[in-house]
Amino acid sequence: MTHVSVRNVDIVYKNTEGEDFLAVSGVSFEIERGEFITIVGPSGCGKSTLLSAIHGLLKPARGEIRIGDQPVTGPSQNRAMVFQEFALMPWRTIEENIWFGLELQGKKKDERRAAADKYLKIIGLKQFRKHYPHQLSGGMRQRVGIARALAINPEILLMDEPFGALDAQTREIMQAELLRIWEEDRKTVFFVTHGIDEAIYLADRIIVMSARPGRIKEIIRVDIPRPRTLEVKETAEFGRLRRHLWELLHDEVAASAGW
Amino acid sequence: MENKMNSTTNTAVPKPVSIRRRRRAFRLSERQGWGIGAVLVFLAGWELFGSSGSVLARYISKPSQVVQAGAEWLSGGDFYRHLQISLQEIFGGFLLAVAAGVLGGLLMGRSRIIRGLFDPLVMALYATPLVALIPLLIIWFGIGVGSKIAAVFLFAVFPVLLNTITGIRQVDPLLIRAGRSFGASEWQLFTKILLPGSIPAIISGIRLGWGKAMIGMVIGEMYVSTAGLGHLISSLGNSMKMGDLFFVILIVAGMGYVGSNLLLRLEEKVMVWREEALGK
Repeated sequence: MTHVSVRNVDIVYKNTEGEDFLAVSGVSFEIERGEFITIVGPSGCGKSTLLSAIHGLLKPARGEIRIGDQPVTGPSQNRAMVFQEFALMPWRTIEENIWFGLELQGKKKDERRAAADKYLKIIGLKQFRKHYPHQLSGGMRQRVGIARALAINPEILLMDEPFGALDAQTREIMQAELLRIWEEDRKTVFFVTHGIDEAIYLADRIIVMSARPGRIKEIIRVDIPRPRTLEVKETAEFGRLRRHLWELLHDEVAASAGW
Repeated sequence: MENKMNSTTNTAVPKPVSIRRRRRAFRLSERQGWGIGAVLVFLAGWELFGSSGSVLARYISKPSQVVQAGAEWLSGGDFYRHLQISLQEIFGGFLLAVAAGVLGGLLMGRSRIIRGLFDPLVMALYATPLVALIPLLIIWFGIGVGSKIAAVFLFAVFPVLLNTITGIRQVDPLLIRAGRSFGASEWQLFTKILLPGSIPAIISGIRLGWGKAMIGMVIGEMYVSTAGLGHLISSLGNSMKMGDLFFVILIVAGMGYVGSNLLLRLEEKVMVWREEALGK
């Protein structure tokens, strides 16, 4: 069943000088309910812009984005965002950060506490509930960012290079961790990345974008069975996809760098 | 702070700053020892010189005389009347300044239109030596408590206002975006992100404002008045009662010190999350 549909979308962006430029051009695709989509492309290809538009923080200049049969008009509680720089409130403890969204909804204290309990357990940070974000490592902070998003029980999880600020090893661990959490209730995920391995490892399908203005270059299906452990990165199928993706991106990165 | 990370107790919210402070209260560091020693030497030298019979000694009094004068003042009722009036003025003016400064700062920090409207006025007043306005305040509010409250207000309001504006504007835009993305209303954005995010800056502003408030009070009272600590300072100075004069000056200094120290404590407390959050 189609969950998100993006149809003929153009997104115009204002740069710092106030000039308009076309960030995303003529993009169409559909996401099934419960599907894990990753989107890759050279920097500036508009993948994060597209994510903001699906979220509703940004309005497309042309075309339409629908969630189910509702057109997107603004942020809504059925979509939750995970940010690259975590974006935790430094003055809130871990549990207070996790129930931030619920607090905005006016949920009662015991309900918030119950949600915090549940998600602290899922992300394995129970003993840190009263700590502040700056006392945690980057990987731990992003687990809190994920818990905060999951706590409002959204239908769609939007992730904007969530592991981009982490070191390589932590990133791998977080990828496996994310899949483990995702397997529990298989929400629809739209995940922006520029890591090739990350894009393949996580995805049901990978959207590959061209250099600016961002167009869809190819949509690749990943037929690696789930649940996936990190070992699948060593398989022949994974290697084949990695090579294919690398070739696609190589041309685009070269193009965007003006070679 | 790092070792707190390894501890797995789930009860204690770490407060590194206050813990460090408490320890220091019991044991003096070498540096503090030297500082206290220097003060003692200074006091002894002062006492010796004051007792030396030199002509200058008349003008500088001596510690024992200051203590004696203080004891007399403290045992009489008159001192408390002056103190009460000064406290009334400083707290009245200071609280008004904090309320107006924070509220105005929040509005000016958040809205470009309001900032545009008031910025020229604020900047012009901020650049004016405020002492020049005291005669005006006396004409408008009389020679009693009213004009002094106005003076305290005027001196204290700018640091609070300007710091609040800066605080609001320095809140990380990413956090505002995060708030929006979780569906925060404009009001929730204010109470849950902008206000808590700028609390440290606001408290610094209030602390600076306290120092300015003291100046406003003393200057206001010295100009025209019938009571208050500033009034005492100026009349004791005119009659050259040096011991008494030093005592009142000490009281004023003490008020400034205690007030700003309490606010500094508060500031350090909220800075617990701040230092590292800004450190990156």
